[in-house]
Amino acid sequence: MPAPPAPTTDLTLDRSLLRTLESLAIAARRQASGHERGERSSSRAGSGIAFAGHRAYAAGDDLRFLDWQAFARSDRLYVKQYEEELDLSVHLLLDCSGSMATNDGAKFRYAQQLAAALGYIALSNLDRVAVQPYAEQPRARLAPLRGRNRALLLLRYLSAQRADGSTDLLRAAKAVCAHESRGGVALVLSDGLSSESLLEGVDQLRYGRLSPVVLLITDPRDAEPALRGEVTLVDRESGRERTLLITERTLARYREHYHEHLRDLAHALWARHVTALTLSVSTPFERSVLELLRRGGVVS
Amino acid sequence: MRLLGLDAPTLALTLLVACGTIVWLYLNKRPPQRAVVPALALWEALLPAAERPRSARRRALEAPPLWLALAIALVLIFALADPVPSARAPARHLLIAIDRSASMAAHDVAPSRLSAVKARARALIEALPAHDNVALVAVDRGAVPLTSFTTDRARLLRALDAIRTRGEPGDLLPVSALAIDLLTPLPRGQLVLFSDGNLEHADEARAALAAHPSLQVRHVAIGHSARNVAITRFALRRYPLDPTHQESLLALQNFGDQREPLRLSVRAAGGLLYEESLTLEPHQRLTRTLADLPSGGARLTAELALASGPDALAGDDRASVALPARPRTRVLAVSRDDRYLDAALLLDDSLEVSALAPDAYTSAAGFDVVIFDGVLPATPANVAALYLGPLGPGALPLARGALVEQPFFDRVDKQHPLLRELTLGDVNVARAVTLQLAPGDLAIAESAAQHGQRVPLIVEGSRGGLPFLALAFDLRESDLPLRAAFPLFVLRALDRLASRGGASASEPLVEGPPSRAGAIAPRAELFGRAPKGELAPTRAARDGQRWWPLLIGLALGLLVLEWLAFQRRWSA
Repeated sequence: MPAPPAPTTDLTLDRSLLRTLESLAIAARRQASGHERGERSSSRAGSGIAFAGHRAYAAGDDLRFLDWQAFARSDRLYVKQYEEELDLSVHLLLDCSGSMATNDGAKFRYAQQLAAALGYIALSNLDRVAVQPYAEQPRARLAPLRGRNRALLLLRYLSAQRADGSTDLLRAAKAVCAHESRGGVALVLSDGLSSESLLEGVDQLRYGRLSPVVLLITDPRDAEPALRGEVTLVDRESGRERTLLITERTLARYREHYHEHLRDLAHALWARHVTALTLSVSTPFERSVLELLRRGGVVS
Repeated sequence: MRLLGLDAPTLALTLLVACGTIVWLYLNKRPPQRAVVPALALWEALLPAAERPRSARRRALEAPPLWLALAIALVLIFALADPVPSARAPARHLLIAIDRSASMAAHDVAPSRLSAVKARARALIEALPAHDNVALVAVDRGAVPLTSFTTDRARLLRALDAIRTRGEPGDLLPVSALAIDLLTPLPRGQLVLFSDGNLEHADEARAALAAHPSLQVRHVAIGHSARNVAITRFALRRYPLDPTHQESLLALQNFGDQREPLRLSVRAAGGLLYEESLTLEPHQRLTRTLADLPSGGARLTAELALASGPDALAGDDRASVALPARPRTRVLAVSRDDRYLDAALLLDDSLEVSALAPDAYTSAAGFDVVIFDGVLPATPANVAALYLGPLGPGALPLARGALVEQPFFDRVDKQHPLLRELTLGDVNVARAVTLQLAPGDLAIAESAAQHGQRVPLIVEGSRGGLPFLALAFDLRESDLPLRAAFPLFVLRALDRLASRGGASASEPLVEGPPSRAGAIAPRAELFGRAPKGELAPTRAARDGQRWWPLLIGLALGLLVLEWLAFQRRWSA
């Protein structure tokens, strides 16, 4: 029988953390392809101030962009092109499955807090932030928000989420891709215990022109459970039970298997050129996590 | 394989109950701890892929600890059954004889020779192969079988524990005859005698056994000291003429090989009657007569105190004896003032004498004996009667004939208790009446034949269950009252008629081992044969035959395995 879902939490970000977050920005591997003006350069030639290059003049081009100096040197008409600065779509995919609620929901609270911080970073950089919580099915999506003044709404939305049920990132990824056609960054916050579903979802995000970044939230208690003797293990998501005789040797094998699972998952993500970062709930959030995110290239 | 402990039905029942209890306990054990995990698949990856989920009942039945517990119970219960392998060699028949004669009470071997012998016999019984048949015999004057041939060691040990010393010397001949009778027809018969060797008829027994060379005999000797001084006899008797006093005979003997200075003391009711310091040479026998001891039913106790300390057998250093108080006899004397008779009756203070004139007599009811002195009752006496001079008219159990002048004691039955040691040959009698004896009557003194027939002078008989004695002449017409034999005759006659036994009998009352123990010198070898083979198997052979130590070891091994596997979690 599955355990009851973890209770909702009130998310807060203290003032010093906010100041730190405001100085950061979500790193994007691809150039921004938003549809509103923002602070990120894009491949689109437009009305920006950064010079992008020349192209031959075609009838109908704005004569203001003709490069007369080039015409004087080459006796041909060229039009100067500039990079247009657009916003970035940041999609936060929050794993709300039951496995995130084990050990008093430490992983889920951590993921909520991390999602809030990343969302605030994006909002501070005039990026569009959308949140897609998911379990076995995608849950009600938070439509894209823009501007720092929407941070409170983001926090409230994240606080209202509850961890329950099984995991299926693929369905959530399809839902995100259905709403996003211009690409952007998809930040997946999960414990990564359902690796097959996670990889399928990541692939789906890649096919949807999104740059997925996987943040694996781990809890040391998952790797070192305080279990000895004959124990009936209950799966948090499916409710399945299994009685095992747990010995020191069993624990050692489990520990080895758990870390091997995370390593395999990370290797699979790297093979897909997907940034993957493992974050432990035991790491102090304000200092170490942001440092890790910066080192991992998640934020810049 | 045979079971020497639990029999097969008990074994099966015990197994059933134990295994049922263990299975029930496992089925009803506390359910395992429940723990919620984020991903059960990670744990399941550790298990064999073919393993399928099972029900709790099936899991319990398939649990290794359950099977280990059942195996341990099985092994322990099997050990209780004490299995032994079937005999490979033919079984022996051992007749174990335990000497329980008086000398086995000697304590030169602590705590006593018998206790030491029992301990050695117990060790032998426990060490014997399980299939050997053993019978137990106690040896004293005879050979007393305590068990039949059996393999039941517990029964043998119980019989062995019950053996106590007997206050009599031992005899080797009966047990030798028993061994020949029992063991000769049986295969591999063997007599094992546990004894100090102090047994009578050893030579005869050895000769009897020598005729059966196939019969193995073995003597397990005990004891090392021969030092013993014993009271070999302690008797007491009353003086016939003065029952108020008694005399005692005391015999001592030194059975050892060294001189023994000692102090002999005799006590009665706490008071010292006699004490003497003396020295007994080796094997010397000594007697002491203690005269004029007061009589009163008190117990006399004689005790030896050896100057060089207690000897090996303390039980015969002390002996007690007592004469029971004589019962009172009520006597009615119907007489015409016979002072001689009165004087004789005064000699025994156990007599309650009532005198009665002949005219006043009507009945002797309420008395034990009535004396008719020179008179006869009108009707036959209704109690035992002594007739002295039945010459006058009256009722007499005997028919009377003619008077005989000057008879004399021509034939006296000296063996008769009444006349033993009495001198009657020179008694003068003026006349006597001829008494006609009826069948069953006995003339214990007669006069020579006159007119062709002998004249009974003293006749003993019985009528209607009432004894009587008749003296055929009147005391006043004889000098018998002047003789020393007269009071003895009267008192013996009264004792005999009152059926209270002789005045001189003593009844010894002995405490502890009797003084007849005598020699206790141990003998190393009674049979004079070299023993063949081992009496009991070696320890290694014995351990190899009994499986229960191995089974206990196996159970312990399983326990260790269970501890390693499920307490130290060594298996997973």
